[in-house]
Amino acid sequence: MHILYIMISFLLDGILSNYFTFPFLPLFTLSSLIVSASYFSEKSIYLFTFFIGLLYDIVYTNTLFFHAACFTLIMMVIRVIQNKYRLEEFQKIGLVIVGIIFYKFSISTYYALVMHFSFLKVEFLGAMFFSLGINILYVVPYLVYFYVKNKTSKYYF
Amino acid sequence: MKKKRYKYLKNKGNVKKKNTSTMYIHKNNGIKYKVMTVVFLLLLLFASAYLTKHRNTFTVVERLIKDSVLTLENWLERPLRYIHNEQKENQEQKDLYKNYKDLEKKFESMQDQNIQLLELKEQVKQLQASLDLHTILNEVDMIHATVIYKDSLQNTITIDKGRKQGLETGFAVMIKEGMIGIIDEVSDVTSTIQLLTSYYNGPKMSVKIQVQDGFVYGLLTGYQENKKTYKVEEIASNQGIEEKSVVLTSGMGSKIPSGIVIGYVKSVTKDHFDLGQLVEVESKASYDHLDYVTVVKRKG
Repeated sequence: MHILYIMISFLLDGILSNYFTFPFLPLFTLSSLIVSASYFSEKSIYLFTFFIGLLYDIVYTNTLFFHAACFTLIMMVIRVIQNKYRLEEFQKIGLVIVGIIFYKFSISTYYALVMHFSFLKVEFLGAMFFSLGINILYVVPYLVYFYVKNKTSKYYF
Repeated sequence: MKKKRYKYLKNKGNVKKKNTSTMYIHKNNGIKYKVMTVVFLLLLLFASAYLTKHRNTFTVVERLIKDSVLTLENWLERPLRYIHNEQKENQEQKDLYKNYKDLEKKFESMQDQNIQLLELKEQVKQLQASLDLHTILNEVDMIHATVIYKDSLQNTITIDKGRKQGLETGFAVMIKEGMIGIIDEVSDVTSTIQLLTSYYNGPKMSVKIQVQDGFVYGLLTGYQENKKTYKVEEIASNQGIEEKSVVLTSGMGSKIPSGIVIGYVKSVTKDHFDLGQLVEVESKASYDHLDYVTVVKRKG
């Protein structure tokens, strides 16, 4: 279920790139990885994130290993927060916000250093707010589903 | 059942951990592995920066993965594309009458031009035969393709045609408003196009600008994001270039045929050394809604 959700998000990122214009890009792959991270063991989520990041590099961008490394680093930060605080389903929205801000800063720095793009080109703030909004909207149904599922589970207390 | 419950509680973090010395060693090992992973990932980021700058081709595995995922995506996108096209068509139908009236006016002036064109074509044919030329710079083949992915950060698009359809790196890509980019990487069934709006690593090419008695030649060197114009340099200062003159590809030194519209002159200024002219060119192509493109292949 979680893997399917991540794979669908990955494909949606590609499909929607044709309908959203720059700098308003969806980051569904990253947000789906973040919200479903707690359902995997630590080792498997790191490996899976690395694999998805690598796939993202190969298929969508030509920045080989950038997304693989960046997504995994973000996942490590997310897991540290998750291990420290026991988060409810809806509190994961906070993790999505942390992840997207981390990603936007990383990719802007990377493009500025490697490809000499200016930060202005990335239209940083506008793009960030858009990405945050659309990703929160995207993960909410998923979080609602698991919130209801956990509430009705006989092991929930 | 007990096992399942234990697993669930473990995931939720509700199981009390034992505070023993073995646990302490495990924790230390865990931190050590995490530090090593972070160092490895940072090294990978540096490797990625190096590879992005210096790598020009895909490996076979990369090509296979890219082709198969993008082909799957292309299939999945069809219903969405259908709706999108229907909406576009509806809008076009609404504008139909206005367009008809505009075209009627244009048609009258075009009839004269058509006669001239036929005459010129005949002349070109005769000259070609007398000079024994097999190809001329603007003889082209056109291959139509659908855009299947846009990378707006890197200013690239990916299309659903590749090596199997006869595409090669360096071919020009255009839409009806003019040229938009050059093929940068080709795999078997997809190709990546570097758009002319990439101002750092964008393609540099020879162009010609129409003046009263012919053409002047210059070099398209980049795109100015803030002004939304292309920059054409290396033009002698004694050439009189007027605003709104058409800028075309020159067909020299590349696989790009001659005569493809790039844009129209917006302004002409002197360069930093006062030796040449700097021309700003405005394109009529809209980069925000690229759905279908045409790859132009020079014949011969």
